[in-house]
Amino acid sequence: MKDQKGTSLVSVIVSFAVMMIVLLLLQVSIMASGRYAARADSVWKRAAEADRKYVDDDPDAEPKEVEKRSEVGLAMATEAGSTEFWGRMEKWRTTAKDPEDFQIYYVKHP
Amino acid sequence: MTKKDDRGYTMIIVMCLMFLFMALALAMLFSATQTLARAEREAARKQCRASAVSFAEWIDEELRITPDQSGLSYRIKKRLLGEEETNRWPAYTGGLEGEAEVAILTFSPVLSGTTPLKELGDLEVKMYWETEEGGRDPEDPDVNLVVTVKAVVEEEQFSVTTRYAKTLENDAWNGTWNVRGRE
Repeated sequence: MKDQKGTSLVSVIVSFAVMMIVLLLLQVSIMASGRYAARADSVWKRAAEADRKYVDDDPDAEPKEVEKRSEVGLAMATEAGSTEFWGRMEKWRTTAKDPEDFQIYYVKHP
Repeated sequence: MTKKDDRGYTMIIVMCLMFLFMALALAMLFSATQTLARAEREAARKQCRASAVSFAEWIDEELRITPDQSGLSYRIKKRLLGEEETNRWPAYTGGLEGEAEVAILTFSPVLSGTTPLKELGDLEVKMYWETEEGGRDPEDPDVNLVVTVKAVVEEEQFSVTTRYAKTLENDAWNGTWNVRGRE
């Protein structure tokens, strides 16, 4: 009888632990799904914005949400290993409220 | 059926429910990661396109600048009409064995640990020149310069090929190029 009580207590504790793990996994999954879905949504949105500029050639899509990142001198290497200067270029990117948000980079002639 | 047997059945039902929840949670997680992976592939495709098209547009602008002592238009003019005829850049006619190796030039941005262009992906530029009649004279006013820009981002790639014609002023080439077509 004493052994049966001990076994029941162990099974209750194990069941409770398993249930907690399952609930925790469920909660983590829901949170992760939400984050992934939000990130996927942001990625799609940015990708669509990039399309407006580069495929539909909509100039209005450009000035609102882009920023200049840097201006660099472009050096190109040949297959033979020599390097030559081609000119100066500006690097731009789409802006984002969240630094981890997806951004599109592109170059422009100064 | 005894009470003890009842408890056993209840435990089995509870365990089954737990496995069901676990399976649902994993399915949800798997579905979300798949959606994110698809979105990121699409984003990489868009970044490729943005990199290749914007770089090709930059080349358009650079080739409109009158050659001085540096820059892309100067480099191309120097290659085409070099001082020594033997060192000149040969035309690509597509009909000779081994011709592509010398006639098609390949360039890539110089890479370093802090390369300012790393966000644009791996860029590669290939260029050659030809005439409409398959001639080999670089001073021919009908010379076409063909430039292909390829961008690779996370296994996605996009290429833009642009054909340029010499800009003529009073039937003489002024050293610059204008866009004839892009594909």
